[in-house]
Amino acid sequence: MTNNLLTCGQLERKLSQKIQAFYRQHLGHQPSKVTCQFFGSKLAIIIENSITSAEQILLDEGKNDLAKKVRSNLDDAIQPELKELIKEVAEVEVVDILSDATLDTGRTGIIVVLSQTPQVRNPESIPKAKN
Amino acid sequence: MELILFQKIKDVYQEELEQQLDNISYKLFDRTLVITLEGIETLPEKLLKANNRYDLAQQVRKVIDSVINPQIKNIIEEVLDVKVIDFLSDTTIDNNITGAIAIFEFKPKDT
Repeated sequence: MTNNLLTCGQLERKLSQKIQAFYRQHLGHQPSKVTCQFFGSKLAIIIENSITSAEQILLDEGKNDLAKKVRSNLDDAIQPELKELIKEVAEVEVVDILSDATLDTGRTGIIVVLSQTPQVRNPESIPKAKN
Repeated sequence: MELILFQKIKDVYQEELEQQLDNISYKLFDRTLVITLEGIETLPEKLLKANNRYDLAQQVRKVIDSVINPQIKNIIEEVLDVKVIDFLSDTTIDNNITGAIAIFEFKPKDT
């Protein structure tokens, strides 16, 4: 049974690819890089170049406040499906999603609180959060 | 380092909001610090929520975060001796948790 499980690195890569495709499908824009990293029962996701062309136009036109509002609403809109995607791939319940983006750098950061540490072939490689 | 980091963040909450945090956890990846704060919700926010003023509670939290989170960013820069180039943070008052991701670069060494 254990052999059927993905390693932590494989699961992180699979999630990264799925999230990249998810952004492309839902926002029509493919981020240049998605990094996923489990730590304890949490998952950190960093999405580079996550800003859509529509938002970029708003920024270019000096409509920064509107761009921020659009980004915040887009994040809210895609969150339920993102939650489902993570649940499906990692096979754990998602308790909470915390998300923020910086329009200047185009970077989005997400912290996902999971119900438990996902099952992987090498559980010892998932670093524990320090507290 | 983590003790200083945790204490300084707790102090900010205590000094600014008279709020004692339940728990702080963090993970350091290369040039990335992920940090979560639990027990961030103040009593006024709880009261607003309990009295069906959820939207107002969220507005309050937004302002609180805009005051607190830059201070957390500064603490990270000071304690880790780095320059934070991106600071991403969010709070859900439902789950009483704030999460932040700091992307940083090391300061050039003085010659």
